[in-house]
Amino acid sequence: MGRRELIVSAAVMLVWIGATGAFAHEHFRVIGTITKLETKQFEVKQQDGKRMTIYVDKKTKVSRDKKPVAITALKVGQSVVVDAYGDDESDLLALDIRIVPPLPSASKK
Amino acid sequence: MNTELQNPSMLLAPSARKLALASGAALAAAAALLLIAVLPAEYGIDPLGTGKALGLLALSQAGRLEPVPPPQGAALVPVSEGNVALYPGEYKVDSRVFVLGPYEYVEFKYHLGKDAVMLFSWSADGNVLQDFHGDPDGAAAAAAQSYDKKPRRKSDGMFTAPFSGIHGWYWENAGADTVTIKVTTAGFYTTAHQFTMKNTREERHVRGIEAIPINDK
Repeated sequence: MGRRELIVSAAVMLVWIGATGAFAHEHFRVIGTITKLETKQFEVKQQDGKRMTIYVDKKTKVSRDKKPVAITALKVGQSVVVDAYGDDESDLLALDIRIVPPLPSASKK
Repeated sequence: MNTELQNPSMLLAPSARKLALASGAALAAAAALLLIAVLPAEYGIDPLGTGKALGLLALSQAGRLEPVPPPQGAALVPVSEGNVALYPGEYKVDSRVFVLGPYEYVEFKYHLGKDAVMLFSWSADGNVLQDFHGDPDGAAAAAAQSYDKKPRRKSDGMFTAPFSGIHGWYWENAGADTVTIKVTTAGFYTTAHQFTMKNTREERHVRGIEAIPINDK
């Protein structure tokens, strides 16, 4: 195998591995109350009491009443519905955050 | 004394010749019927060709025909014979209840081969977002095909799978109140699959037709 073929093969392998990694990300929905807010991540307490840390980036969209709002609109104590991608529940990146009216059971916990 | 007048039955009695003629005629008629109809219809013997002409030969063959085996194959895909679609196996039945908390969703799908049919009825006691869709076997999630996304609280119908894959519903509770969804199906599916918000996929048991209670009323 010549050097050129070797480089092409390596490039194809890299693209394939990258694509596989991208497809490996799965969709999760987290519903609960914001308990902690930081610049690049926030924490949500779910209705079952479990706390989830979710990362945000520039592509993360935030909305309230179906209207987009700035990410700074997020506040501790708000109820949110978060659609996120990740390999598992410990590694989630928020794609879409909806600020919703207080959840009935969440407000009791 | 005239005995013929005193015994009227003697007046009506036919002569021996007449009796012989009548018996002969009856026998000839019976023989004709035997040759024309009975032998072709019962035994497939058609000496005069009348059985074929009258379509009676088919009657004699009905009891002797070998039963046609059902279509063979591992996949429950239909084989069309005129207006009938035959499958290599029995259909399945299933019924589910999903209780969705505020903003929760669930996906429930059945695996059907191409052109396989499923009957369904579902209803929700609250507003839900729904998407009846399918994912082809072995394809990426982006290849999913939506069949019906109109807002509904109830849907009853029949579905014919456009491709081999999993076909079913995404239901999302769009509000803050708990919603219960009931779904019942019957069809030529093989398995059922439930997907949750936690990104879990579980295969669910579907029942055979023996699960349907006998109606004795």
